[in-house]
Amino acid sequence: MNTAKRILLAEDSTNDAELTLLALAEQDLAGNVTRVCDGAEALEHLARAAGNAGQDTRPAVVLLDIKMPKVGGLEVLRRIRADERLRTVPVVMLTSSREDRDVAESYRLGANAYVVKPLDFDEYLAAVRKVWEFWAEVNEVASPSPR
Amino acid sequence: MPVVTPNRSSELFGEHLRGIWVRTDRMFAGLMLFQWFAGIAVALLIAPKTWEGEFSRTHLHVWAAVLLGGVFTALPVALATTRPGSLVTRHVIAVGQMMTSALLIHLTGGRIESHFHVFGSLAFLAFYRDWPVLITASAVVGADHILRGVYWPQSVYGVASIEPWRWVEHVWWVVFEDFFLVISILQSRSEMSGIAERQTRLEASNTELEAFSYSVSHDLRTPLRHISGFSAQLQRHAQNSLDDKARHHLDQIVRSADRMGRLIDDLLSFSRMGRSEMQRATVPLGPLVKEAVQDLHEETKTRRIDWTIGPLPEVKGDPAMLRLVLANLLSNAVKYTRTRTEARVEIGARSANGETTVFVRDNGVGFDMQYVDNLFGIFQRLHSAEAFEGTGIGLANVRRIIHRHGGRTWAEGEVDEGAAFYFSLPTTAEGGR
Repeated sequence: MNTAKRILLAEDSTNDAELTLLALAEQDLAGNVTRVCDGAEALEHLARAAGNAGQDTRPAVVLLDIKMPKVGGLEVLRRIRADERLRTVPVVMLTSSREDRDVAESYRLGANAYVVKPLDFDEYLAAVRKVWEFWAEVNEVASPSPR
Repeated sequence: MPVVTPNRSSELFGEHLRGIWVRTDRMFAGLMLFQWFAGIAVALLIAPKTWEGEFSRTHLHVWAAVLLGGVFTALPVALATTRPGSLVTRHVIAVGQMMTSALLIHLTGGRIESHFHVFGSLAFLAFYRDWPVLITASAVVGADHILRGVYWPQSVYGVASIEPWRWVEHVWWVVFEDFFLVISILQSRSEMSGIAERQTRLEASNTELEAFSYSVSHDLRTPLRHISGFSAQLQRHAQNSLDDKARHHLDQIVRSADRMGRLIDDLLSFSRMGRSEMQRATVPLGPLVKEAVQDLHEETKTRRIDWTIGPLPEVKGDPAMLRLVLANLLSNAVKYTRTRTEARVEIGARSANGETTVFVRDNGVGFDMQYVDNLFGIFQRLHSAEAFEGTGIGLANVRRIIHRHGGRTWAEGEVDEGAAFYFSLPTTAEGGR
């Protein structure tokens, strides 16, 4: 596993970010996280990562909140999928919305998974573990032939 | 108060009007075909044959009915089929219909009674709720009366010679009728725009409600998740430094947050229940009850429950919603008979007076009839959450669903003597809000 690969966490709520980091810490992953506070920052970060020629600095997985200031998560997702260099980056929607239209729209735009932030911390841990397993799987498939 | 956008309002008004035009076009297509055949029948009945010297041949009227009638009918019917709802179609139909009136008047030899066909036709044309159509039609009637009055008075007035102003009298009666038809058209159009405005307001408030429940779903849950998440952190990391009392309080915080989460979820599902689209299907209640009983297996497998399920009919309604109704009523019956060593749950139905009534009766803890009105209210409970778990959303959902089906709900019970819950559904496919 390439540990240099990072997780990009786009989350406007400091409390939520902290809880996610706590859950990631349980998987020894907190050190790999870059946190941005809104969609615009997320896009900036991704543009920089994608523009870095020679070295693959794209995040291994993007955890996207949907309701964020400036640019919402769905719009970030749409732009990631429209960008030639970012198209293959796995995106997990990590949101408190369980509205059908958000779920449907996320998958329509090409999200790889949709996780509703649970109220219970143990559930939160389980959810993050699932995301981690998903990440590991994606990287294993992708690593023999890096693009 | 939601804002009414005039654009949306006029859009809805236009949609309504176009619907009326299309329907009326279709109606005229049928009517005009019928009139064509009726005209031929009239011609055949009155004078199928005529004498020409010593030879008998088909009367000219029969040919007029077939050919002229066909011409007057063909174009309007073709347009009503290919371009329903368009301005041209309406006006061509108006011309065709008035020409048909003229033909029928001719075929009956200008009988005054057949002139009433003109008045009937104008009333039918008023269905379009578009007054210029009446002007087109009236112009055709006027022109026809003037021209035939000059060249062939017999054909329209039934007499060989007439006063030159006779057409004025006829046209006057047409204008007289038009006057009232136009008033009625203007009135119904103003009512239609009232309806459109109300509909717009309704749509706007629905959108607001939509945004509200989205916000509830997202924004209320967020701080709750923080309470619950950080309390859990506290439980994990400060377990040893806390005394029993503090641990107990922490436990209460976690459980309360959890309960509030469930209340929010229930509230959202309740609000969604009121807004979601309803399906209309024939739903056999028997299999639905069987499924609901099976779904309760986890809770019932360790208990003695005597199920009595009577013959259940088919009803009209939304299958998913009715499944939820039965699931709620049956799980309540199972829940509130928990204290019984041998529980009895009976499900049955009967149909009478245009409605099907379904009941679920149990021998559980029952309730005091003086609180019966509270039973179906949202988050209303007659037992403490400690004695019987739940938020009090189940029966509120049952009532909302049944009301949307145009039915009723009620209950009977006695403390410690069991309860019976009833719902009725109209057997005709009425209701559905």
